[in-house]
Amino acid sequence: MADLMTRATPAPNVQATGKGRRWLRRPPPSVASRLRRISAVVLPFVFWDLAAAASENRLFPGPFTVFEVLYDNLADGTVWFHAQLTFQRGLAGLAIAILVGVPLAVLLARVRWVDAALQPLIVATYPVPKLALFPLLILLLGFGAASKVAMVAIECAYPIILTTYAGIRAIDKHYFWLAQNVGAGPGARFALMMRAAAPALMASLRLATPIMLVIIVVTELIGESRGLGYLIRRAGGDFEPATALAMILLLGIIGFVLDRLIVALTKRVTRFSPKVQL
Amino acid sequence: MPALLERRGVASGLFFALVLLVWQGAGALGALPTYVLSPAQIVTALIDTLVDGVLLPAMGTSLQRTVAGFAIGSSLGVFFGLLAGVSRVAEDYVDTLVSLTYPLPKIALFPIVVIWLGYTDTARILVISISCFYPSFVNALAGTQTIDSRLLWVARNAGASRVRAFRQVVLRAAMPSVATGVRISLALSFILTFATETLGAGRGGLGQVIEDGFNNLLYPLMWAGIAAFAILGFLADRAWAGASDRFLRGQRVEAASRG
Repeated sequence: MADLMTRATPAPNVQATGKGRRWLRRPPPSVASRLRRISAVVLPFVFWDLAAAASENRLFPGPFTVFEVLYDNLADGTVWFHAQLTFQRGLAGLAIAILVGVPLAVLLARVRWVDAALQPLIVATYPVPKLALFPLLILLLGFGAASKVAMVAIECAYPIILTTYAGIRAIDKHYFWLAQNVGAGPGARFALMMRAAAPALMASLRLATPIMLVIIVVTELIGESRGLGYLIRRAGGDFEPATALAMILLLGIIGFVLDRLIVALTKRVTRFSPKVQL
Repeated sequence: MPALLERRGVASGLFFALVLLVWQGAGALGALPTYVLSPAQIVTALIDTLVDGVLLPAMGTSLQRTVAGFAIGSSLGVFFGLLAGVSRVAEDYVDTLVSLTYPLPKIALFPIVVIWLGYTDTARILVISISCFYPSFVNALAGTQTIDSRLLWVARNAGASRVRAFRQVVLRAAMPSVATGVRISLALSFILTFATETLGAGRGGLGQVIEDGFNNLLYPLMWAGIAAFAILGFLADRAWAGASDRFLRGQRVEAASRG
């Protein structure tokens, strides 16, 4: 709301004096700001490299060592196998969370007694650390992929359900009245609801993806002989911090690419929707 | 559908009771696997481990780690988030770094931190606080960015100094978002505590209790640990929600009236 306001109305007083401009909606980034942003990325690497060089300790590798190790690992190919497994399981869990979570959110938002029966329970169990159930899931589903996928699905379902629910509840009810007046069937009304809630859906996806990565890595760190989490734990156990850091870097790259993909998808999906703040 | 069933407290209470009843009934009929205890057995397990003196020290240890990591991480997160909100320079530096590292699962750092610091509380608290930093930072920054600019123009036109405008406008307007971020950090700190306690050579803490129960097939012990974790997480969230409701009182009213 504030966003729209400020874009619609220029700031006469404050802009004229130039004072307090930083309080306002950002002007396009200046050259100085761009430079600062670039140095924010470069400087930590410089410091890291200097510190590593000064420590001369194999247990504290510099960035170039880590890049080299990552390159070697990628080149010899075994990492792909592990990365692919991690990725598949994570995405499977996320997909289940979406397939269960979105319909549930629709039911919660549109059917009053479902809302009354379930919403307080979902809200109450949201802050409970569900990861503690992982040993139980191992007993139920075994040490393989199923328990990990289930863990990811459980943890990701919460933000998806709650954000989508809020998004559907926030839809202007005039849309529904209009749909009813023009005689739209249930299918058309559902499509309308999904389209109106698209920004919230995408926001929930963006919330859930980092959670997916955290949970899949934790489950692989705890008990697994495959996957990136396992590689990190093994490297840690072998006192090979360079390898572990390389794997973490790879995870970071995967996470970053996924996040960018979601942002790009959000722009496509929400072309016609008003802006939503997460 | 009778109106009574559409009241949240009534319907969810009934539903919860139904779930417990079915669960307990399945346990009584022997339909549950040995490692799934019935609700009554879980309560018994909780009481037994409490009386044994196993549970309380473990809860204390876990809670210490959680609270330390959460306090350090989220307070730094809120501080830098607000700073980045009012200072372009800080935003350029900190926000760039944060958005680059945001999707990275911070728990993956634990095996490396352990190489440097060993399986110590320092290592655990470090990883917990790094993780807690992010949601607090992102939400604090977002809070400053959604402030209605007219409020600031009014304050500045009325001759409020920068510091005063920050204290009386920015800080207050950003508070709901800050509170949300801190709440997410709080939930995260429990997840991270469990993870750091379960990952190898855990010394004390509820993660260790759950792990012991799991490894030695002592399912009541495992369940007591899980239940204790759930109770702690739930109570911490309630405490934070209660506290933030208190200092957000005015804003809730305004938000409701805006509607």
